[in-house]
Amino acid sequence: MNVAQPPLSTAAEQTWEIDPTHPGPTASLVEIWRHRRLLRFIGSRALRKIYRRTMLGWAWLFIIPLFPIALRTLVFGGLLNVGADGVPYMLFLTGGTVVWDLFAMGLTWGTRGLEMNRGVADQVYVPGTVLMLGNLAPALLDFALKLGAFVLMAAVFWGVTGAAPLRFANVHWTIAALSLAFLLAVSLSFFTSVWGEAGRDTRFVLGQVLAVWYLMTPILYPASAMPESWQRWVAVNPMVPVVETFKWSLFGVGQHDPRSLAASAAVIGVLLMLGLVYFARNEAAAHDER
Amino acid sequence: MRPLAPIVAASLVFGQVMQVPSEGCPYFLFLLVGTTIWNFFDGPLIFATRGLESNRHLLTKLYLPRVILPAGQMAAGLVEPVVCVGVLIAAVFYYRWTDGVWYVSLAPRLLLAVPLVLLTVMLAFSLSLWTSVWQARARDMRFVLMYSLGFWYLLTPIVYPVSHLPPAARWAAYINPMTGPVVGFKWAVLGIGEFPATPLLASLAGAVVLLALGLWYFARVEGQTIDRL
Repeated sequence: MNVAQPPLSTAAEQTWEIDPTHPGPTASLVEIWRHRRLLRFIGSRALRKIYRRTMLGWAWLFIIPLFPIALRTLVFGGLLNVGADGVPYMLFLTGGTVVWDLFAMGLTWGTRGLEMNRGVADQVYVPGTVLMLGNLAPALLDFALKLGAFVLMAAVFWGVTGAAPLRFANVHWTIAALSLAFLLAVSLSFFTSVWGEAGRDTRFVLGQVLAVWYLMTPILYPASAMPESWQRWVAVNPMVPVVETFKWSLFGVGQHDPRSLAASAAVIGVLLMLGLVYFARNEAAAHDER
Repeated sequence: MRPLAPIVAASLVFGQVMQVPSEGCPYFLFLLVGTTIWNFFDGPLIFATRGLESNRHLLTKLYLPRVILPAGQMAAGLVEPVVCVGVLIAAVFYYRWTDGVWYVSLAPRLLLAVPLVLLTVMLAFSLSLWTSVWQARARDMRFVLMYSLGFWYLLTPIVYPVSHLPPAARWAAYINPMTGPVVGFKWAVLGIGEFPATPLLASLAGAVVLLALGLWYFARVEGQTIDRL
């Protein structure tokens, strides 16, 4: 019985073709898929790196998210009497924070993706896209913790008041909103991580921009409280439909406008394509120049 | 530009969306005045906290009186509040032009703003005597500080007037050593609210005690801290 053996390759047959990378979005996506195993490595690297040389270490993960929410509830919900369309303010704020922070933390960590992994990139070839995406791991962990806290809080409210504060009939809209928030973070990170590699001040500017953006998005307050004159400006902010859809799908209050969500999705899709192209064209140069 | 964007956004949200009252003057001015005096506290504190850590190379090589480091570093933190004062002056002229009202009048009480700023900076310095040592020991002090300052900002009557607090909760505001300077500064500049005599005396006493304790603490631990730097 002869099993057909593959022919042994000789040195002459073994040729390497070295092509320049194609700066197209598809080529980038293919490359990410090929290197997908590295994502886990880069991700765990990012997770370990953040809490090194700090005293509280991993305890931070639990302390950080909950205090600001409690205090903001006290000041905005209690003292300033901001409405929440009938939802308990603390739950309302936590829900908004879950979806906002998925975006904001994702963007923050994505921006540092190239800069934090310089050591790796200097030594071996890893596609920059993979470095950036792997670096999103801390943001995803943070999201999982906050989501857990949110669900726990809803359960407590349910136990105390006897009325279920969340409904899950529209949970597919929740998932759509969360995916869009994450994709917006990814697509903007394709730009900001290249800038972050060039100069450290990108991070500080980004922090400022996010602080303003946070205030302009209905998280601390319901969209219904926005003055009429704002409506034109609100349409510019792709996070408004995302946050509103998230809250509507779980609490059943607020605006649900599939058309504006679709517009947001379209904007995010275009940004994602542009980001991939921009990243592929400028990443290498940014890495060499610094 | 940098300090201005967050103030404009915050004044839109707090003033227009949340309709926080501002005792008769435009909410933007109200918030700007409160933020200015707050920046005289948090800017110097943040910069001074890093005083020991960021001068590590200097410290491990030669001797110099170490208290100088947080104090010197503090100067960098004064840039932002000074810019805020400039913005404030511009805003006052802007409102004179649009509303026809001088919201800030050149009354003698305006002079009181200066000692209030000094008191605020002194509070920041005395706290930084503690925080700079902790920062040199553990890097996460910076995050703790940022978080605490975020809370502190909300707990101090900056975005809302003291009169908005329920009377039962006012004592809580007056424990806070920054309430006196902030409320006093608003009174001195905008002429709103009351002159907070008791809270200010308490702040002053607190600042003196904190400064004395801070100097004592700093002198006691600077040596061992430098060794571990």
